[in-house]
Amino acid sequence: MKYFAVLAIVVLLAGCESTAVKSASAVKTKAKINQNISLPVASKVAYYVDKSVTEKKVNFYGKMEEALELVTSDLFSETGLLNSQSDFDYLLKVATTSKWDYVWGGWESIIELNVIDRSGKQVFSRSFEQQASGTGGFYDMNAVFNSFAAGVKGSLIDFLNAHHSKLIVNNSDSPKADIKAFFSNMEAGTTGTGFFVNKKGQSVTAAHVVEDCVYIELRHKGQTLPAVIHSSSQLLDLAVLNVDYQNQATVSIEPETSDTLGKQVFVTGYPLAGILSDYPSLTIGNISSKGGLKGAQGIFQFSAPTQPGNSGGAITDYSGNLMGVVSSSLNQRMMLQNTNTTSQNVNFGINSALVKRFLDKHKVEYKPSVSKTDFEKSSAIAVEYSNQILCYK
Amino acid sequence: MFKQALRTCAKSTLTIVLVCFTASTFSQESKTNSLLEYTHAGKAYPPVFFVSNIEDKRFTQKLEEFKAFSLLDEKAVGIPIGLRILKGHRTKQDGTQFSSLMLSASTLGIIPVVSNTEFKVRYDVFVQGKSIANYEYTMDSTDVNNFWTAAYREYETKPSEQQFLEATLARFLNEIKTNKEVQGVFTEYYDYFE
Repeated sequence: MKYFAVLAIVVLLAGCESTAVKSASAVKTKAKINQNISLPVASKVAYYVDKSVTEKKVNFYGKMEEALELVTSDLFSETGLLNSQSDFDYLLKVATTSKWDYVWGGWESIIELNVIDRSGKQVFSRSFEQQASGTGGFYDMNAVFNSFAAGVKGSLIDFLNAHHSKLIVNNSDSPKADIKAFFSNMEAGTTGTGFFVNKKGQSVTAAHVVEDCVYIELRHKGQTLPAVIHSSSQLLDLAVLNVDYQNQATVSIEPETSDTLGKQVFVTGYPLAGILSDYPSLTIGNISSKGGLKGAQGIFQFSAPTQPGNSGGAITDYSGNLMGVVSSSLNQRMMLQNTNTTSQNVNFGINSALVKRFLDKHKVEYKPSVSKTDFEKSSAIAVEYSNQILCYK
Repeated sequence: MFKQALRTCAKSTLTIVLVCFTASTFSQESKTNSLLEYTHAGKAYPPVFFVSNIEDKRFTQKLEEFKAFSLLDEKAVGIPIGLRILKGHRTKQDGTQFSSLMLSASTLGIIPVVSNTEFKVRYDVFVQGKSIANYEYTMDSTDVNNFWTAAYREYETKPSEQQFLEATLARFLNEIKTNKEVQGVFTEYYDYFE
């Protein structure tokens, strides 16, 4: 009994929280890489972690992304989180669900790893369990991270050992399958609005509409087309998309901006996708301030009602000239907290002067012109150049 | 004869260990010094929306003294670039705390509870509300509490933690100086808003 007590005290004193592993080489696995393989192998990989949550289970997808970043950077020459611009030889698709072990403590995770080559063919698949336990208990996320890193590293070593002789290496020339082919039942997670600025299929939208998308589509007049990001600025919240499409209508951009205070404007867009029909909507208002939130530059305030899905849409005057791009609205929750009231129609747009500078910088063609049509005609043209942006995450 | 050889061997091993230790200490010190110093060269970084839970104004003043950012504005929520600095304190859920707690409980609180603690400072650089870079600096220390009153005690930053907190400023500024993404955003800001 005495010895048992001493042993228990020693174990308790020695117990400590997990410390996150700092390098992939420090991740201990049973699997060993074959001696004839020198790391990192020259293949490019992208990784994608499923973010869906199963009932009564937890998805630590953020920790899995961190673990994949650590491990893959040691094993492969190029690696990164999958996005719409990723070029890769292999896609690592990972899904994980975790639950707390109420008997012994620690997180039990089931991890599924699929390796798919650039043609869309699955070349490796493994489902395994990992145990994360540490004295940190429920919140010992370092233990979760370490267990993910160990599990993924072991599986990827097995993949490399099995496929080393036939590994695809930096094969950018061979055709890559459409990202949709890598996922079953892929549905657009978020939507926004864009508008054509030239007749070459280049559409302007807000950068946050296409941020973190693994695949982007542009929908126009019943056609759905794959889109790629031509240029993007997180700072300005602007992006230009390229689609293989010969559109006819484009927005009119004035050589000299005329966004005077009080000017009547309208917004065309595709708000509340999934709730409202796919027809474009049009709301009217005016430029209510030439400034935005304190400290913002190149932003103005307008009163035309907007909803989620309007972001990236064109704000035009009644003659059909671009005044700006829909960017954001005042956060109602923040307003309620700070002022005990909600705001009404306080929306923000990126002014056309800034849009032009962005287009010029990225060499996106547009024809400066002044439109002098009436409201009915302007709104009809706006419907023609406006399009819906679908973002798959 | 054997004893003498053993003694000589032990002496030489000790000398080698001492030399290695001293060398590593010096190299560590010079590296640390370079991290603790920062002099801003070139144009000041763009204005930032500044958020922090550090109430001590001396800390913000110290950051301003580096003249790295042209403005730290706590109210300008519309500035597209943000800098958030948070400090936090956490008691580690480890064996030391558990065994100390048991010991304290068994003496009805006469012996205090000793815990390992972690003092963390986190810096985030945001663009349009999205973090593009973050850095965390951690300092481990020990905390002593009374078993009965620990739950009611408000944690105050210790002098050593305050010193550590201020030292992280130079480390952070040195780190963002070499961060291409952050520097790219700063350059882009001036491209559009000079």
